[in-house]
This record gives sequence, C-alpha cells and structure tokens, in this order.
Amino acid sequence: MDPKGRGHGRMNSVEERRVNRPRSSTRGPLDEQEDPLSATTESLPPNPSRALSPDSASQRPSSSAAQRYAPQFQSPNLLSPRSSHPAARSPTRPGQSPRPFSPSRPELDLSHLLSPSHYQPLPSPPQPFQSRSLALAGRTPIPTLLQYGHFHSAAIAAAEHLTLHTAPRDVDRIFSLLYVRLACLVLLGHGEEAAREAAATIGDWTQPMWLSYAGRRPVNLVPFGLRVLLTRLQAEGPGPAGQVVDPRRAVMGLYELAREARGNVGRISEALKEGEGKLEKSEVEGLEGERRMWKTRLRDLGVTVAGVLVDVGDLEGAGEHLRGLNRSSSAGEDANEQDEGTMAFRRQSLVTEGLVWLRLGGLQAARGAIEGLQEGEPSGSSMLESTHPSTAELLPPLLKAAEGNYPGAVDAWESLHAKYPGNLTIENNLAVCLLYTRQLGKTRDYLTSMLEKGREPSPFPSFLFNLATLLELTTEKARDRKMDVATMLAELEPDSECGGWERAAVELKL
Amino acid sequence: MSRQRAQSTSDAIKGPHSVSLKVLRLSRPSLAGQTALPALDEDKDLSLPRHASRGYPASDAHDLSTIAPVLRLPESFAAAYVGEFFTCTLCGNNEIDEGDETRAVSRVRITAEMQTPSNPGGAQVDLDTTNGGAEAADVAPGSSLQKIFRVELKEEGKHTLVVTVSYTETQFASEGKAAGGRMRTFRKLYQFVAMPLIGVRTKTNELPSKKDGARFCLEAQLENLSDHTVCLQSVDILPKPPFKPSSFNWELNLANPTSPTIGPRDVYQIAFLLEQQPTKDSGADVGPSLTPDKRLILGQLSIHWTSPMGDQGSLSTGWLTSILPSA
Repeated sequence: MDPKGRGHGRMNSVEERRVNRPRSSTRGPLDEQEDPLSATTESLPPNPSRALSPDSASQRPSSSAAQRYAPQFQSPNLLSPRSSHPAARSPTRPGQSPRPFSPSRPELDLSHLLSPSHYQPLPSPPQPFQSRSLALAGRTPIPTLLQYGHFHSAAIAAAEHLTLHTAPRDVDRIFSLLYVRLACLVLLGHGEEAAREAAATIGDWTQPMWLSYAGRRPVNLVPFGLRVLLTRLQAEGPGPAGQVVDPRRAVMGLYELAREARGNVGRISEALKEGEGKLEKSEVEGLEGERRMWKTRLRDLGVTVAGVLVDVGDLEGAGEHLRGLNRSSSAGEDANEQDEGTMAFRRQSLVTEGLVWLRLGGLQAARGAIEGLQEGEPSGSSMLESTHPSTAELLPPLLKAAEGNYPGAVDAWESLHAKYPGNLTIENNLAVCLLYTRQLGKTRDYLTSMLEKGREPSPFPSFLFNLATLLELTTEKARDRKMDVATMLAELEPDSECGGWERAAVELKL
Repeated sequence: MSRQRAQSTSDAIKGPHSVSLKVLRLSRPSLAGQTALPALDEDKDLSLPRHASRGYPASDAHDLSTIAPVLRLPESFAAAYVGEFFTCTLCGNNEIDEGDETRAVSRVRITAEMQTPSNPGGAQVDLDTTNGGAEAADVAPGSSLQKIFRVELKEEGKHTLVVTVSYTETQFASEGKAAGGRMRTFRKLYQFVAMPLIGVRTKTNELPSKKDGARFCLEAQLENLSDHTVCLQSVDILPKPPFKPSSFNWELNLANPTSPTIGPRDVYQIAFLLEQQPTKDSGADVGPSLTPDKRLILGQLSIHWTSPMGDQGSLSTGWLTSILPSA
C-alpha cells in the first residue's frame, strides 16, 4: 500500500509514563524531631523588627496562633489539632459515622500525591517583594505564613513539605497541605496551575478509592472543604491528563456535594426526631450543631454554584440560579426560619444576584434585586454601627454607574463616604466615577491618599489596578512610578487581607 | 488604543515633548472578581485567614460571591461595535519634573477628530463643551488636562481618531528670565475597527386579510455577532402609516416580562403583526407607501440593548417592505 513502507508497523512499547519517584521520607507523624510546621510563632519571626514578634502579634485579634501552638499542645502533627486534643470537640454524635478523615483507613497510602512532578515551581514575586519572601522560605511555619499573607511562600512551603517531609499514610496532613497549596495558588492568581495540580493529584474525588466503607454508609475521605475547592477548580482548567472538558462539569460536582449535605441534614433531623426524649441534652445540642453546619454548607454550595457559573461565563444562568435560591428560601418550609444565618443567607444571595445582573448588563433585573434587598432590610437598621457599609448599601450607586449616570453615582458615593469615612471600597469606587466626570485631579487625590502609610487595611487588588491605570494615563514614566508603589508596598506590614501582599505584581501590571 | 501610528513631528530636532498624550477608552467600569475560597473544614486551624479571599476590605467575612462590589477602570480597549457609544478620555500631561525650573508649559490645547469610512477627511469631535471645550488651559508640572468625548459609532469599518495637542513651551535662562517661548504641536492617530454587534434578518409574510385591510407578519432573527452576552432592552416597530403593529414578543408574558439575553453567536427570534388601519378620512396621505420598485413599506425595526456592565447601544433597520397584497 505504502511504497515507502509507512504502513502498519509495530511500535516498540516504551514505558514512558513510569518515572521513578524520589524516595519519600519515612518519617511518620510519631517521629520526634523538629517539625517546621509545628514551630511556635516565637521561633524565627520572618522579620524581627516587625510585627511578627510575639508581643505585637498578640495584639492582633486573630493571632491566637501563639497560644494555639503553645508547647503544651505541641504534637508532631499540628496540622490536624483535632486529633491532638479531642476534648475540644463537640461530644460524640450518635448516628454519625467516623470522622471522614480520621485515620479510619490506616492502609490508605497517598504516596502518589507526593511526587514532585505534580508541583511546578512558581514564578518569583516582583523585585521589591523578593528579599522578604526569600528570607521566609523554608523556615517559617505555614500557619504563620498564612496568617501574615505570605501566600507565595506558603504555596512553596506546602509543596516542599508534601514532597519531602510527609509520610504517605499521614492522610490528614497530606490533605491539609494540598488544600494550602491549591488555595494559595488561587489567591496568587495562578488558578490554572492550581487546576492542573488538582487534576494531577486527587483528580476526581468521586472515585471509589476515596470512599471509606468503615461506617454504615460510605464516607468520602477527602475533607469537605477540599472537595469544594477541587470541584471549583474544575471550572478553571483542563481535566486530568490535560484533556479539554466542559468547565460546567464543576457545577455537577457541586450538586453532588449538595446532595451529600442535604442528605446529612435530613438524616440528622430524623435522628433528632427519633431520639426525642431519649437523647441527653448535650447529644441533642451536638446534633443540632451538626445540622446547622450541614445547612450552612448546603447554602454556601448554592452560592458557589452561581460563582462557578460566573467563572465559566454563564452570567444569565448564575442570575437565574440565585433568583431560584432566593425564591425557595423565602417560600416553602424555609420561609418561617428567621434566624440570623437564614437572614444573612437571603441577604447575601440577593446581593450576589444584584452583582451578577449588573455585570451582565441586565439593569432591569438588577433593579429588581436591589428593591428586594431594600424590602428585606429591617427599617430601624438593626445592624451594629459599623465602619464598613453592608454590600447592600453599595449596590444602588453601582447601578447608577451602570446606567451611565456618573454624576449621580459620584453624589451617592460621596454621601456614603461621609457616612463611612476612610472606607477604602467607597473611596475606590468614588475615585473611579470621578474619572468619568472629568475630575481626574480628584481621582488622583483619592487614589494616592489611599496609599498613605499606616492606613488600615492595606491596599486591595482592584485599588492597585486602578492606581496603575491612573498612572499609565497621567504620565509617561508610569513604569517607574509603579515600581515606586511596589517598593512602598513591600515595606508595609504584610497582611493577609484580600489575597495578601504579593498580589501587587499582577495588579500593578509590572 | 488598538493601534497607534508613529508621531508625525520630527522630535529628533526639537527634543522630546514636555507634554504627553494618553488615551483611555471609557467603557463602563467593570466589577472586580474575588476568589471566594471555601474553608477547609469547620476546624479553622489551617484554613486561610478570614479575609484572604475577599476582593475588597469588608466586615462580613462570609461571602462566597465571585463578584465584588468594587469598580475597576476599563482594562483594555476591547472591541468597538456599531450602534454603541464610543467614549474616550484624553489626557495631556505636563511631564516636566516639579523641581525643573528651566522649562515651563502653558496654553495646552487638545483637539480631536474622527475619520470614518464615509468621511475619511474627519469630523471634529466635541470635547465636552460644558467644561471649557477646546480652549487652551495651563497645566502645572505633574498635572494633566483631561478631556472626555462621546460619539455614536454609526458605520462599520475602519475608524481613526486623530488627536492634536498644542502647547507653548517656555525656556528659562538663569534667574528665571524667559529665554524664549515656542509653540509646539504633535498629533497621534489611533485606529480601530467598528464591527456590527447585532445582525438582523427579516422576513415578511402576507396573512389572509381582514375586511379592513391587509395584514402582514414580520419576523426577524437577531444574531449576536459579538463575543459577549447582550441584554435586549426593547425591540419595536416604527410603523409606516396606515399600519399598526402588535408585538408577539416577551412583553406578552405579563407575569414575568424580563427582557431576554442573547449569548455570543446565538440567535433570537422576534415577530410582529402589522395590520392596515381603515382610512377614516379620504386624505391621500394615509394610503400605503410604496418604494420605487413598487414594494409596500411596512415600517422600521428599532432595537435597543445593553452590553456587560450596562453599555448601551441601539440600531434601526432601513424600511422593511413586502410585496403588494395579492387582492
């Protein structure tokens, strides 16, 4: 057939896929040695002159890390403190299967997640941030890195621990480290890389290998939050082995998770009904707490579905989905629930719906959502006096801007600014609308004053983007000016808010 | 801007300009995204800090929305579509360092004109007359003169925005004496292509006529030719008397009259009924109008839409016609 002999030939099969994995550490959770993850915050603060010293750290409301990692709790496996002090947990829950990722399956060997080939090196942060990031690498415990927003270093540290210092049967720790790695990648704006690593490691968590049959019904061993993250990442990138798949399959995964959550709510409700009068008070409270948790998870999944639809570009689908959520939450058996969680959920899903319609350009639908919010708002504003406006308050001026009524939007932002002085979100939005009303000077004043040292909280991504755009618009030396801003930011106190401090590189378009 | 041609002046001889021109297309500001990461577990020890995945500083940590109520300036020039308004801000920036006392800039003036396929010579663009218009202004070092204009894109094809900046540059000798002033001018050209956003295909069918007059059904297919979703705001018929239209479209759904959206490359079908009204007076004006080739003129289709973040656009078709009724 083929004169040149290129017909059916026999190919020698070569096992190209089999790559030798470097021998993983045999150190197990019970080995006593210095564990960088379990270091207390006192050890090696990343920058001794700054706030990471124990004194100033304890002034921060969220910095209980020092106590949390205090010596009396110093277990070698501090990534999962729940196993180290079970007394702190809620009492035993009847009808509850074993903890999904307690070592109920000691035979589970996760060595395939520890291969260095799964974790790619990250591009380095911009110059001004490099010195401090490098100083941190490898010697600061991950919880401290996370607390101070060093997500770049935390992502590297997590991969290092996974590939070098983790035993293949240390399931809790592997899942936690994987979560930290993927979440940090997302925060740094490397969503696609996170999706690739997610597909290469756990991949499809619905597969039988992730199920434990130890209890009365199969339980997934992958922690719930990690499964939500893995599923969301399916919308971001290619599937396993790089194949192109419909990003909307992430929605299917979320529905699967929602089915599990709904099932648990129902099961616990039944257990409570059956046990009425027989269960002790503490048991009832434990079950009720459990049910609340699953209910919250179920609602969160509802909003997450909308988020995935937004990410894959189906804004109309997202808006309709949220409208459905709002309808079903204020009708049916949920209608009578007036507790704080339910009310907050209704507010949040309406706000999200409004934002989705605004982004789509469906102004009529956006107006509807805003009206719904105003109806639901308690007349006497029961909310505490706050320095932050609620998201619901931000929607009407956003709508004005979308309608093209920039002077009206400027007025609305100015009155909100008078009500919440110093709020960066309002200042940012006001600055943007001022540019559209030919008040470039004022835009510049607001944006540059937001950079002032000592202002809390530190600058957030979109503000930096707007500042960079303004600099590009007002000078030919924009690159130098942006580098000045980056240098200034690198000197600021590291902060974990809004994606952390190294985000500046992306946003400043350096 | 999409493409920029080389400057026309010979900078090499006269030295670099003290004023720079920067242009930003002002489509509607967009809403920021946020990552909205789930917590690892109810046990928050190795979860991320509360506000890490927020796109903006806020008090309520629990927000899983992937859109934040934060405005961002337009990221890129993006595509320009016929029927939409093209808004741009022009900034003339005084690039002299604040400490530099050897030079000064005064009387900065920006003018712009738009060259379109039907008017390649270019037409002057109105730079918001409410605020000084095209008059010259003094700009301090490090400051900018900002102008905004807004034109409706009516034609498909290549457009060129020509911006001319002129200013007076004064050189100072020692002790602040003016050593000489000169008028300097430069212009920059920005090219872009205006594309159609909605493709309209129409069809008219004659229906069995009533005793009062002829009836026609007008169908149209609206195709979204862009790469973003479009929200239809209204689709109307502007009838040519003596025809009176009635809509068969989404307004009929009184319970939920939400306007429809058309995804990229999707087609949306609309239909109208056009009925000839009885001629009350015997005036000649109310008889049906005909085109030169003896076709019956029914009316025009007028479409209004919004693009993402609320940018508005509109389009009117030419006269839609039908063959004369067979009766």
